Amino acid sequence: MDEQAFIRAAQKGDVAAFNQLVRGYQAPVYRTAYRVLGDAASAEDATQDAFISAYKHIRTFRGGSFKAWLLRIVTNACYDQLRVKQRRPAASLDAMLLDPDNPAPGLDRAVTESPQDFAERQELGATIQRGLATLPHDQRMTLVLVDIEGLSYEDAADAVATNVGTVKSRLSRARAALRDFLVQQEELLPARYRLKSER
Amino acid sequence: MLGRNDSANVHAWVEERLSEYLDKRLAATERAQIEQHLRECADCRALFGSLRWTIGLAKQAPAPALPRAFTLPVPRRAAQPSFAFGFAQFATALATLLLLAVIGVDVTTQLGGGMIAMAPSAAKEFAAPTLAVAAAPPQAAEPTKAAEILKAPAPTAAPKPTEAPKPAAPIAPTAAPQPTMAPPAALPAPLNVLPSGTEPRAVGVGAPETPETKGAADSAEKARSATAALRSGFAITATGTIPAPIATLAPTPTATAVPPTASAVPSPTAVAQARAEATRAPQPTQVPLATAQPLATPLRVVEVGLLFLVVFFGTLVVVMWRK
Repeated sequence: MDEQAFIRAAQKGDVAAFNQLVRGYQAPVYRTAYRVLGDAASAEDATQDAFISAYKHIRTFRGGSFKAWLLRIVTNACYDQLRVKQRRPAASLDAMLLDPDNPAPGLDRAVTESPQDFAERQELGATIQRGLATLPHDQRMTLVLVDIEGLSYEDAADAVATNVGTVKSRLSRARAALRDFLVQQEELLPARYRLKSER
Repeated sequence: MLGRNDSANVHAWVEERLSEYLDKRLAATERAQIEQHLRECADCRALFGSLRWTIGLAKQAPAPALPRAFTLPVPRRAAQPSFAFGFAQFATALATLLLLAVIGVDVTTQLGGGMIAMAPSAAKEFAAPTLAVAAAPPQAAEPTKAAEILKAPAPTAAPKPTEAPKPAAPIAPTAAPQPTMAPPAALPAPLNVLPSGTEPRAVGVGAPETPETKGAADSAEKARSATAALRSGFAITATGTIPAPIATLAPTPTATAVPPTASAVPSPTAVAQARAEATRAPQPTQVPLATAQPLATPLRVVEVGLLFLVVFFGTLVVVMWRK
């Protein structure tokens, strides 16, 4: 049973078929929410809200990239969570300032990964997350969708409900801002992730 | 050669397009211009390198682990009545209806039988005795009543039992008389009857067991004289010699009344059969109970069986409904 069949079944109200789609896309959806929101609890809420909303509105899906369609929904859910955070800035600040002892909670350690590599990867994730937190919401959202989730400009434009030109502009500024942040934080990064090694 | 402002504009123009250049979203002409500039400008080359490094780090950033599955709970479908549940419901309803129907038949039979038994007894004076006789064993019949019935004229007594017809057991027309009050109980009757002076005739009637004998009159006379002699002091003995109670019941006053031809004279066996049939006369009073009993027993069995089925299927329905 392919994705389109699951979509058609879900459009007829088959929750089990929709859950098959959920299992296939819950990782990128949660990852996007986590990158945008910066904390696991908010990302979990946004992901759950996104899938519930997706099930309710799956009849409106008219084809194309189902992943992009889901990411657009989770983007809206993230905006809702961000509005909630803005009403509670303290919680938002705490969420963005990751725990230095546990900078990237919930990361899975690969079986073949050494403890040092796992620690360095955790450090990189925490640094990236802090850099994303410095970006405006729109730029952050665009960078996450294009650079981390690999959406095309068109799909990203559709997800954030804007045009491709705006996506290009936001993405260019977001990358430049993140680059500036990472350059400043380069000494905190593990040696293998530093820019010098690139040169 | 570009001036300072022109050079700054070129750097800004290139820097703005490095992002698209990295994503290969630029047209061939613009890409060629940028590549040409990157070869000539170390600063822009450094910017390009840092931007590619940034995007690389962002892609390498470890993904957070899923805290849980986000599948939606599958709503339980509305419980559709299964075949077993439907069958149990139907069986319960059917068994209940059948049980009610059988109980109705049972009650109707009981009440209807009793009413039929009571209603036809037009003669009120016989209603009680007949019921009493029906309730009590034949031996319980009082000799006095038996004697009274025996004394009563047969034609008048006959219609009364026949007035209690039972559909279940039609009364034989011959079932006349109360005399039927059972030979054993009627045995004392001859003792009462004999002293009345009829027993000599009775003995005479009992004597002609061989109807062919034409000298029956003479022998009867002899017997009459012999019994008369005995009656003075041995009446009981004389009655004890009576062949059968039939003799006392015989309506014929004398043996001479017996037709000379043997064929015309009812044989003692025929008379005995008539008496036997007559003894069944009281049975009409037992008809209602006698007919209801054999019908009630299977009905009770059916009722108990249906009741069991109702309870069984009802319990099954309740258990399945709770599940």
